[in-house]
Amino acid sequence: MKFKDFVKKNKSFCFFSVLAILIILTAIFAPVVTGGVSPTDAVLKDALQAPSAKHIFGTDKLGRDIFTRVIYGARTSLTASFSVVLIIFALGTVLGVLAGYFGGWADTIIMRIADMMVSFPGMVFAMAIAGILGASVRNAVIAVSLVSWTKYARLARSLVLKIRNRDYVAAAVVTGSKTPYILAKYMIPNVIPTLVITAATDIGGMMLELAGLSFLGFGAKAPTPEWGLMLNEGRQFIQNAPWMMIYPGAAIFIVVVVFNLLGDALRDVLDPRDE
Amino acid sequence: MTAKQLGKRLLQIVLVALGISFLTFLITYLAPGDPVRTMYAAAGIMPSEDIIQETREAMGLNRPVLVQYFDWLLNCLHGDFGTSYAYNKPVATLLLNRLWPTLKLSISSMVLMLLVAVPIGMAQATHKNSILDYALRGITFFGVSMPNFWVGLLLMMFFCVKLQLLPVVCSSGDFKSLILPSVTLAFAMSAKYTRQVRTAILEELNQDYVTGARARGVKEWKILWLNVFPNSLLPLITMLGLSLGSLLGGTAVVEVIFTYPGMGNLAVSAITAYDYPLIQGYVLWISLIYMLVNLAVDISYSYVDPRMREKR
Amino acid sequence: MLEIKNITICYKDRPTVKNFSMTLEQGQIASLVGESGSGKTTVIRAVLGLLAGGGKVTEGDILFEGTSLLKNTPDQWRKLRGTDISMIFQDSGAMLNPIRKIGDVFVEYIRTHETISKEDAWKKGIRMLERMRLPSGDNIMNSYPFQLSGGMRQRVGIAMAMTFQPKLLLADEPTSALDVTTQAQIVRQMMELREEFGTSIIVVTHNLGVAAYMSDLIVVMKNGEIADAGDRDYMLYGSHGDYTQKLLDAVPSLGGVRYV
Repeated sequence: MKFKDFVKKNKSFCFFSVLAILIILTAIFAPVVTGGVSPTDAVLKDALQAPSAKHIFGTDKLGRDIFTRVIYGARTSLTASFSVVLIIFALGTVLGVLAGYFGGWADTIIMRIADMMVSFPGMVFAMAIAGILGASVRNAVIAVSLVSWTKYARLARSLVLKIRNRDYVAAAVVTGSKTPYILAKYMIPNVIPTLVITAATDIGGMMLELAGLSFLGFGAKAPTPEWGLMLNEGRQFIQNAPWMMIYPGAAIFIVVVVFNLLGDALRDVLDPRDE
Repeated sequence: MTAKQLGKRLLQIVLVALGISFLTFLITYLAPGDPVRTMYAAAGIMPSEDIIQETREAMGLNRPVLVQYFDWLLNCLHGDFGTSYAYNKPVATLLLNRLWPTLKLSISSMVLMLLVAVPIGMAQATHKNSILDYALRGITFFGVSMPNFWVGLLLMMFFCVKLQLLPVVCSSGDFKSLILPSVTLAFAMSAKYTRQVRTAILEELNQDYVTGARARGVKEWKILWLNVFPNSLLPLITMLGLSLGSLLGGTAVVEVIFTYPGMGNLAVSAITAYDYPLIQGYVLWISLIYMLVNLAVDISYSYVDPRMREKR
Repeated sequence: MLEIKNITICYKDRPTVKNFSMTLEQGQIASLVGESGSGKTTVIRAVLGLLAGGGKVTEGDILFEGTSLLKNTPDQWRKLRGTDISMIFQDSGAMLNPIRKIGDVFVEYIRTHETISKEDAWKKGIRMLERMRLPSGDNIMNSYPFQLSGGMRQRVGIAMAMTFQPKLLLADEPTSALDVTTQAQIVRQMMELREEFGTSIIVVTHNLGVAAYMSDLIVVMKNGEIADAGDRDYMLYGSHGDYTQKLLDAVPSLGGVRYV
């Protein structure tokens, strides 16, 4: 009954959750969805075929089925974006809470680094890091995480600073609560909701950045099925085989739209005061 | 801004530039690629192991990383940013040649973006929660979710391949070659800014002086364009400065798509070729440009807003 | 000259003012008294056609010099505001664009309602300021609102409001943000406006003392309705209602004498 009420009250959130889960399921069950075709199987005599009943999205320059590669691409894209968001969420929360609660040199060091990152174009740096470390999805994740965690740290710190001098925290200290307990009981719960909203709205953006890195050749390496990389491969065939770039791009677009809308809907659920 | 504040900001810029350049240096030092091999490969030579060692020694690459860094830094202060491995030309010359095209692209896309975002955001704010507002909000939402490299490719397919109106390769740097790259960059930015213009205008519309002006019978268009709009520019300019960061990252992608002769394109090929001096120069230059522009924004802020001027 | 007839004002279908009526003659000063949220500001905003955020007069009528204001087109409203009916606020300085010079805002206002050169409008502004006993009008015209004191800002607000010698001046808590001395000066200045221009005034205030001092007519509001109304003697000494008595009791007295 309660579940039914929740669904009724948060229709858009539930709708986009279902869509997001569908996308995730598609990624997990990619082999089933694509009927067992391998995303890396090259059949050169089938190269650059226009969409047809056999290959509904057409084939690429090596004769690989683009539909299969797009579906498998969801795996790469989702894993990478979720990893980035999880890493920056965890890193940012921990460092931000520590900086805010303890102050002193920990605060100074963490916040100076954060300031530095803010006063610098992050994507440029991410490009350099990912490129120099060598093109791979893992390195792209590392690069994007390195330049993105500071936003969470700043947010967590400011939220902790807001409550650390409140009476009930002081009361907990006076009555002998241990620091880890205070951190776990008061600080972390205070920080989590806002950061969860931020993380949810960030998934789409991270996906775009990661795809951008792959597109430039600083992310996924061939023959990995990855949307950004596929777009880059399709670029050379824009005249003869436009389907090579249309479908992977549409895939990024749709998935990013769903996750952005889900993030917005989640914000409305957790933080209804906005408009 | 007081002289003291200005000094503090300049010091901060220097510190950040030092930090960023050191980080970049460290990463190139730890990276798997070998610059010497890359350099010879670029020249089409297959050197022996001895020659590689000799070259390493000659280039000072066998010294401790800190020594190398400070050496590089000292040279930078003299305007010598090193020599590109791949092009065998001074980094400063290479970057300088590409600086103007990139600036041209950034500025034209920003202007284009403002021409779209300001009227739309204004219309949304003045018709808040109307069908128009919702429709435009939906459109901007999709705009934000479009990867700009995909937008670029779609535009290219349509205007260059199908209609053959514009060149596919925009390496000449003339006006025609500026159009599609600017439109691509402006596309995603406009979507983002329309929302911010809407928010900023709505915020201003709630200010007391708007009620005051209405109570004095001032015409609505005068309230909007001579009062609300100029006032909302203050926060918007700050945001513009800050988003220059993502713009500079974004130009790289767009420059690659359209083979536009800008810094981003140069940087991407430098990264691919492990051309470390060029990468370091690029990162340092971009960060300096970015920080100086934002400093300029903050200074201009205190000229535009009399309340800030008072504090100077 | 002003007749408010049984108006009901709704925000999102919820009435905030119910069945409100009052009549004001030329040269009269009336006060609307009540706690915050009693709907007093809503009433005078309705008279100026400036209800914030979707408020609407759903019943009754407002007649200004015999014609209904509610039938006004937006442009008719606009032309009326600042000419025949003016308004001053709790902090008139905040009602001016903070990043423009007072003179620029003043000129913009004057030129909205009168075809006149910028220089002449500027001079007219200075004349108005000096009439409100603000010395060195040129200085003030070249200042920004935040550079003036609260009392001066209020006088600038009054000077602006009086530019076109309005028949009706609406004052929304004009003295609440000021210290006591300045309060008294502003109150006296408003009373002089009546002498000088014959302006009718409606003052919204939660200060019964101010109301009693300056008004011919006092209307006490509670929860959007008229709780009590009458002339000054009736309100102070007559057989007024319980709620009025409660408000009167809240006014501090000095040595047994109540200075209201």
